[in-house]
Amino acid sequence: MSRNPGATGDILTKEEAEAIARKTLSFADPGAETIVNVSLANSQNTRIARNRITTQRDASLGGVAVTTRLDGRIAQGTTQRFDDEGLMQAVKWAEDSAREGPGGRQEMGRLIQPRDYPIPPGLWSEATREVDIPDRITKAVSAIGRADGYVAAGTLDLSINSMLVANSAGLVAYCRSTTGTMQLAARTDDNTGSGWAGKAIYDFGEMDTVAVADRATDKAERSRNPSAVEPARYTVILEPDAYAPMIQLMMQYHMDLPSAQRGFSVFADPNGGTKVGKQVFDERLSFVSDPMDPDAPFCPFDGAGVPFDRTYWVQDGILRNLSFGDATAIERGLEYPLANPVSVRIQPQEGTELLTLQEMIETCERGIYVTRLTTGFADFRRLVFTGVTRDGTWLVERGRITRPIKNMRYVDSHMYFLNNLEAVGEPVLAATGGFMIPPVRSRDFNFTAIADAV
Amino acid sequence: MTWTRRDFVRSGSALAAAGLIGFDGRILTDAYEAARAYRPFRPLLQDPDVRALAMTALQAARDVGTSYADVRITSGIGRVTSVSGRRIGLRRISGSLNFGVRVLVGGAWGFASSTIFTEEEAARIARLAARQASLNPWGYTETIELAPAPVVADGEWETPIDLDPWNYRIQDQLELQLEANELVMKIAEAGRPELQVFSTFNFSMNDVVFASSEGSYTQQRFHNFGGNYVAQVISRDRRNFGSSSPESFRTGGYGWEAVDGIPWADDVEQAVEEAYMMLGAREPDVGRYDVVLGSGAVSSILNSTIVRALEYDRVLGYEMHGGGTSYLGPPEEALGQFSFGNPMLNVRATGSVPRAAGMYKWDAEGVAPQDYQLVREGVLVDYFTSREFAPQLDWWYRRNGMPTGSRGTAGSASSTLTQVVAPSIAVMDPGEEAVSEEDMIAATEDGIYFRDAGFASVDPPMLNMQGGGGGLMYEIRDGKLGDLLSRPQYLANTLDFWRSMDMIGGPDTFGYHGGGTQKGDPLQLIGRTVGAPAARFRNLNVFTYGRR
Repeated sequence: MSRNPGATGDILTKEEAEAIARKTLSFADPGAETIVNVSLANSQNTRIARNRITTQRDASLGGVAVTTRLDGRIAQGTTQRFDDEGLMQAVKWAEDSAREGPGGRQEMGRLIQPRDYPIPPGLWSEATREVDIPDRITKAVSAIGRADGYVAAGTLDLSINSMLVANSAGLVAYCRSTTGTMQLAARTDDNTGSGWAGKAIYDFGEMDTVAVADRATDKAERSRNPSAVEPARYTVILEPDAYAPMIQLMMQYHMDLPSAQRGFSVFADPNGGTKVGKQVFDERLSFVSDPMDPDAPFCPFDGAGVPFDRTYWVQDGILRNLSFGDATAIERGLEYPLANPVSVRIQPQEGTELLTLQEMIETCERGIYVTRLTTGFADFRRLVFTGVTRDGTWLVERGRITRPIKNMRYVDSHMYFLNNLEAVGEPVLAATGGFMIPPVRSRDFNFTAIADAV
Repeated sequence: MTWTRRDFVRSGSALAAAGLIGFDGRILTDAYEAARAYRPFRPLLQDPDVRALAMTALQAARDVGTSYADVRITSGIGRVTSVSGRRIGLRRISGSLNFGVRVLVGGAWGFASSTIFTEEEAARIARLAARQASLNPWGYTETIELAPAPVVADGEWETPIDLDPWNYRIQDQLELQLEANELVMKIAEAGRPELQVFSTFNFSMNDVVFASSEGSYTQQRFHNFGGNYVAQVISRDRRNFGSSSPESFRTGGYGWEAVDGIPWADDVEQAVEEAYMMLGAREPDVGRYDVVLGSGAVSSILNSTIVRALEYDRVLGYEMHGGGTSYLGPPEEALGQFSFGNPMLNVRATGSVPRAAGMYKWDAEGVAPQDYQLVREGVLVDYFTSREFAPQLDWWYRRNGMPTGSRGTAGSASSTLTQVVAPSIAVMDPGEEAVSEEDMIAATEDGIYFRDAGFASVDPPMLNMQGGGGGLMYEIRDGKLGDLLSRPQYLANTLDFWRSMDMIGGPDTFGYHGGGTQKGDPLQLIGRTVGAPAARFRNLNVFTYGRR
């Protein structure tokens, strides 16, 4: 596993991970149903601030999670240790928790039967796995060099991951992946202009940090000396990264069927039940999660081995699916639960005319161009957000950007602006990775106040 | 201590090869019996193997020419249970064992960490950290020199608790939790079918060892209780929503006493009543109001607009691409000169608050936290720093006859993450006079009272805020509480907001509340405790966002 002293990027091969999983299973009560999840990830970070590298980090983080079902009770034990004592400890924690006490019977969780999973193309890159410290430094140095004359801060992160799930029914599923991201903020020396850009990759060869720096400095330069516009409802042109965090928060917290049934999610229907089958977004938009997505692949199963099949959560604007656990799967006569991978693509309907950001500007009478928004919940249950624009906001008039404007606070949600859609573009991989998001132009975005600061 | 990664892989494969593990993963040897005799938690305190691992890392770092090194080792255990109504959703016991090594080579930082707990790995990680640092091209041009700090050769500390939660089982925890939920279920079954109850109980214990090349060796055991216990109700038309927690539910530096023997029955009904009251709240009329904030509401806005702005790395621009910058800079222009224009505003750091979440005896650099002033009578007089940053304030400390050094406010969410500036406890002092919330309400003609902790959304430079309530908010008319309000929000510029504070509660209104910070790459979420009194703010811009 170790290539040389000081090497980075070690993960577990399938054989190594399987050996740990099998050993863990050997410690388990033969009468229990047991799932073992083994992972080892290597995370590498280069932090940039004040135009220099401030911190270089490398972390190898292992973990084993044991899920046990005994007498109808489900419990988990986890450890970061790969030695026998650590593995036994995780098994014992789970089994001691499940063996007795309250609960039982109603806790459903069938084991996934042995099966084959597809290997998503592009999810693993040898080039990324082989990156050594000087490679990261070289990339960071080029970005910093390119931002000369500006104050720059950012981060270059790589993650090399391995994960294996095995269970007492004989399932063995292995997945490895390489991901990375580069983000850079640049501000002008007079402190009036600020720009930001980011890019996610799977293959380090595509990590063009110079392009990221160029985009950030260009935005900083063009946003010097902004002037205010009256806060009001405006047409907005949103770059994908401006609203990607909203999509992520929706996927994380609102896609669960039981929450919607109980009324706690944005997909609860006011008249009872859920909004499944109802229109929730513009009919030109679909939300689809697919581990085989050629632009944003991810591991094809969850921590318990539940397959991530290609799933349309929203199809042509209509809510089609919400995720559910095994109790619902059994009720519906399904082999396994509908798991939510969080990663998602917003796909424009076939035949929709796709505009570039430039074309959205050229065809806009009056609007605001937004690079980036801070995003916090204003109302969790209704999925309404508040925050401010940052790092490059401009007024668009009669088909062109006319001037940089001061930052503004907003209170709004993609639940609204993806219904007020004027134009949509080709989805791109968000700077955080994991999400394929198109640029959009929408009516009536709600700006509530000036936030006069850079 | 001689187990290596290759060993376990080999032995695992050997077992499989020997046919001892069937394809169904079950082994037919006495391994199962061996598993019964496990060690429940790996304590680090007073463990010679742990000291040996730390010393191996420090020696390996020394051998490759580092000028400074520190190692942090964590062994933790957590026990979390979630119950929704009467249904158990989660039973989990988690263990962690990891370490991180930070080094300076030629004045640049390198950091590496691992979960393989062997001396061989400790040496590898130390060399890897050194290699990270030595390849940084800025290392030899902008040298980092750490502020001197007292060596703590053999420090030991443990969060004071009354009852060790690890003497109880997860079943005991679940039973208490089911009893708590049952109190609400009984009310629901007595004619309130909209009522739901959720609870999560989360006990954790973390042993953390810090060792530095300067000779410090500290061992700390942190206990914490976290979680929630919430009664929630949704109106039949699902348009309105209310939730509240019994006031007797407390989180922080607690042991088993957090959940055992608590008379929840005494105030659970009040929590339910409040949740129902929120369903009937009306939206406020948009306009300008005097706003009375309870201690929790002041605490959250204080943390978001002042405490975080006092973090020196943020002031320097280390978070510019992420969380943002700070209006409290540059230091040479701000220290002693920047004023909030309000002599009632006093903010300080402190190291010791009983039951405070995140309290430590030594910080993530082995420095004891000090009690010191950051904002005195409205004027900025110091920052939260670390050993790296404190020397940059040497000019200021000298001028004021103060020692140059870290005040013990370096933090980290884990030993696998680098240290950042993150104080654990910050306090806004109450007024000296015994002014109560009732006094402030009585003195207010046309206002809004935010009783509970709320949320704050602040822009990246922390200059423009939107504050909102959680829990109960009332209108104030002629010195009296009026209607309950739904989702009032106040909008302000940070400086205008603190300048507008014209009444400050006395010691009886003061309370500690959970807060936190997010910073670093990868992002670290670091909890903290923020103490504040109640206070009144004049003429704030209040609005609401209704339904669309």
